[in-house]
Amino acid sequence: MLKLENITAGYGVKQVLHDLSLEVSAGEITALIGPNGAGKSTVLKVVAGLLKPSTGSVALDGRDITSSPTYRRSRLGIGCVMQNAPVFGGLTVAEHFRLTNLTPTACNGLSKPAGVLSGGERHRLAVELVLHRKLKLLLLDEPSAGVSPDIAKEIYAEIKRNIAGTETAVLVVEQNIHYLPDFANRVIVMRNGRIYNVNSAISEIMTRNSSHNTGKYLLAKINSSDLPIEHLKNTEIMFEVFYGS
Amino acid sequence: MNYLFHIAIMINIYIILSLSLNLIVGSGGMLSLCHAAFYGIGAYIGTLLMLNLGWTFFPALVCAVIGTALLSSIISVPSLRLKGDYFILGSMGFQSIVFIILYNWTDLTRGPYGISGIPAPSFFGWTVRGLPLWFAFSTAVMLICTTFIVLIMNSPFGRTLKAIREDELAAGSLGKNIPLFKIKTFAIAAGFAAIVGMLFAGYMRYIDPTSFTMMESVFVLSILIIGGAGNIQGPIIGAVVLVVLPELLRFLGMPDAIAANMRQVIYGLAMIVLIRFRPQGLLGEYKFT
Repeated sequence: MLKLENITAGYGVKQVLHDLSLEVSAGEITALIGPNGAGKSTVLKVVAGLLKPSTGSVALDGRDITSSPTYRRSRLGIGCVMQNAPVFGGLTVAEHFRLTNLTPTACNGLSKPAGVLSGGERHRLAVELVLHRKLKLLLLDEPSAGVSPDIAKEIYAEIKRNIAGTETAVLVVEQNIHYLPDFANRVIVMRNGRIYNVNSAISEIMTRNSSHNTGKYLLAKINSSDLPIEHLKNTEIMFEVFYGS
Repeated sequence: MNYLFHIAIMINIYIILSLSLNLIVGSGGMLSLCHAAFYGIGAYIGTLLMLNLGWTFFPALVCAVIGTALLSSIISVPSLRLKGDYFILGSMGFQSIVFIILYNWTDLTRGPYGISGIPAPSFFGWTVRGLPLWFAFSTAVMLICTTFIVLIMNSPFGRTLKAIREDELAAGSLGKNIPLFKIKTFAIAAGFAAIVGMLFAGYMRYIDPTSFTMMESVFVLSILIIGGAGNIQGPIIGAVVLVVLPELLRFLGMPDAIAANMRQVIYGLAMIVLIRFRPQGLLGEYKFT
């Protein structure tokens, strides 16, 4: 459904993504994880059309959208909630609904400017606005950033509830990996602007039951397919994956 | 009494000008310094149609509005790639180009000599003559324009403009065609400025390029900075304050030569104080800082 091929992209002279290729199927929830600066958010920006890649192509349902502007991608069914919940501070909550052609739901705070909402309320508003649309692909950039763990869980649960039974694919960037086992069904690890597939390396680590030099060993072995989702629950392994080098 | 009528007519003119600029600056978040150029283009198109082709006021007005709106794309389309300070510089460049053309294309505009003998608006055999009638006419035009601008600001178009002002990328990700909205905003604001241009030309019966200079654009922007932008009441109070303030200086017995300089000093001071202590202006909602 979404296909990124040989993407190289960055900011000014600094290249962040290096020859990155990625596919996401319809209905699949794919999480991108990795240390800061790995290029996870940059991938979302390239898909959303907020950043133009210097090489490579982006296709949605077989249609090349590499040079399509953001609004056209949105109209093709790509919705995104970027980091820090981009709501419009000068618009009231009710105006946000009307902006997206929705009828404001009867609730308190409709006349409040979005700028005075708490971090959790802003996230919920941003998510609610995007979920009301018919989406092919939903991009989420750290929905848990700046909100309490309970709110973050609720946000993830609401997203999952809304896309259940649909063909909507999700590409989510998340640092707090403990939210992912209940949400994602595929996890990809990124480092230094590339995708690292660590399946067999992790399995080997698990077999060896090594706890001390896991990270160094793991990083030396990184060369294979996706990270099995159940390993996200093993925080020690994940810590080593991210920071072990 | 005539003096008061004149002041009130000028207030009406600047209310429409500042409200139309408010669509670009307060609602769209694009700090533009070329509004006097649109105002001048409208005045010249309408005047030339009336004097050279014998058109009456209202057909000339319609043509001036459409022509100015179309010409606004000369600045809006290229400036889509410009942001922030560069956009301001681009708008100043457009303002300078328009002034230079009006000043030097003497075969058409009579350049610095200006154009006199502009006919007053007339409809159904009734001509707007005398200050009381001009006050009534300009007030009616101001109220009609203000009503339309309020409707635009509260429409889905106006809400989208505000969203673009707040976060252009996020608005784009909601499917809003940002470049098209910006072009339309400039066209609408330029159209209203053209109406003011025609009003001014008909009232003064004379126009020359010095009425449409960069300083005039700065003055209209000052109305928004001092009164406030992003809503209706800010530009209105700003226009009243900035038109009336220099007139008050006359009552202090200050010689005209000094009063003119004092006016600039007061504007400058007022802007510095407001930007420091009240960046949204007296009654505005959009902060310039």
